[in-house]
Amino acid sequence: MNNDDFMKFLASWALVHETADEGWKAAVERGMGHEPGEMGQGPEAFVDGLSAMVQERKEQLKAELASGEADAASTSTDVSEHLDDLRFEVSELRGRLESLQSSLDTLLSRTEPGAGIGAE
Amino acid sequence: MASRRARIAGVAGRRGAAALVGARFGLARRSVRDAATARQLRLGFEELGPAWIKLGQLISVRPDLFPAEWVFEMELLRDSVPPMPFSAISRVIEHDFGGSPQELFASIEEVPVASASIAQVHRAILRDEYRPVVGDVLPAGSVLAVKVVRPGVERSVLEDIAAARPAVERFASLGALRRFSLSALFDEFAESLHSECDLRNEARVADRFAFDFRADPVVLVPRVVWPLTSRRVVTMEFVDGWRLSDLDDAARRGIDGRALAIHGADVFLRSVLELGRYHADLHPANVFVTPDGRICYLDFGIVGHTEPAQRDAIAQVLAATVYGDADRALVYSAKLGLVVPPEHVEAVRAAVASLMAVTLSEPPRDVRGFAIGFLRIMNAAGVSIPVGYGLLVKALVTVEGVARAIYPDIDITEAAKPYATRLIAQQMMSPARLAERMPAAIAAALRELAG
Repeated sequence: MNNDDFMKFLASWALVHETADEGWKAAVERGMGHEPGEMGQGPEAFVDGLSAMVQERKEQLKAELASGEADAASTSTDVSEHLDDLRFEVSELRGRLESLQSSLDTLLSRTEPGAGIGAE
Repeated sequence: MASRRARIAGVAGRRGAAALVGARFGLARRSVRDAATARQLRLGFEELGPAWIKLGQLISVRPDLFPAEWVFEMELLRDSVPPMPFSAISRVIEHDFGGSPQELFASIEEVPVASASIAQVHRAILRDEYRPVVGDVLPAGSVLAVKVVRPGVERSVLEDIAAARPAVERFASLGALRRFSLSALFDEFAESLHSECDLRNEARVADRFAFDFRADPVVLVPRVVWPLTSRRVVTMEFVDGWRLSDLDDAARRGIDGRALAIHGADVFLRSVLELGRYHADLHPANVFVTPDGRICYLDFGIVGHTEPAQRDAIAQVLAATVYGDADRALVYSAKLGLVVPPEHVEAVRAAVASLMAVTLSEPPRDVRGFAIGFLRIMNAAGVSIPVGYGLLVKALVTVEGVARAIYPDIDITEAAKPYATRLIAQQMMSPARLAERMPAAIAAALRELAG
């Protein structure tokens, strides 16, 4: 690839970017103007609606990055979800143990001297 | 045993004759014939009692084995049988927990609040506070639902079915009935009955469901009291509310039925597409609406599972249904194991597109009609329906029925659109998908610019 080819490649890249950017901005603008439910009215409406949703998330991400909260928030969310899962597993195990303990106590009480062993 | 066989034969003969009349002695359209047979079968099962009601319930979740008409008709089975005397229930509780119901609970009502073929439910009061697996502590004095398996029911149901099995299989090997795998159903029956009679399974699934939706203030799952739960007894919080059929009353009290119905559909989609486990038996008797406007889920006896790899394809099939795209529906159905033989692909595609146009293009969209038609098209093309796929189709239709019971004008495909759209967007934007497509997209863009 000579110098001219390389410059042409970069120019093409810039042009793609610029064209995409203009198209993107237009799609965001159209998407922002959607009525609720309009996104389902065909592929164009879908792309416009999606662009507006992405733009909204982008602005939110920008704000999070500016305040330095993004990483801390996602780490703490991950840990908290993991902790919740663990807590549930432990509680679930406790539930099963409580049920088994009841059955065991019942059986033991029937085998104690003086207790009648009978079927219901 | 002989008198039981004679009774089964009598009911079968009478219902068979009625089905023949309903089907105009075979001259009616296929769908009319199947509907007439299904109705008489359902009425016969109700007449014959618990064993047959359970068999019918099993048919109702197996669209892979039985015609769609049978599957949906069996949903109407009324599982209500005369209650057992409280003394028999009391003996089960005493046997399993070593104390009388009066000792274990602050009080218990001897008249059951519900009585079905496998178990009956008594209202009771919690003696000491209890910390459940999920949710807040249940204070002493909380109202409970104590569900107790009828003593000996598993054995008697299996005996009843075993007595009739040879005759039913001989009958099923005749003519048009040959295509239904009654033998496979009998084999599965014992296994599912065994699992259903162990109420701890249901309690575990209820806890899991409660945990999955712990952040959703609209979803309510009764809390399980594990120390008073055994194989044959499950003790849960009693939830007061309206069955879906009584919702007129609730609506009058200002509950937003439309929002609840949409929320219910969202809960189902989230269960299937994100969590991978879903309540597969959501008939109207298993869903309550509470006075404070929440949806209460009961009876987790049948649970469906979806694997991560399947969820993408299910989302695509769902989106295809929502947007009426037959090609997409068939392409992604194939990834779920619904393989149409190459020689039938074009005919099936055309039939599905035409069915979508009739049932889904205009409101009010008929999801149930679409599902029945879809399964019938597959059956006619000789396509086997995978078990999981059939269960999912059935569950989706049932959810639509439940949503309509809450809010009759609901259009479930409209309600599912935002969810389907979001899922597809997520899939399109996944790093793997972008990495896969980006080079081709850039190359195409450069070609366009160069041209």
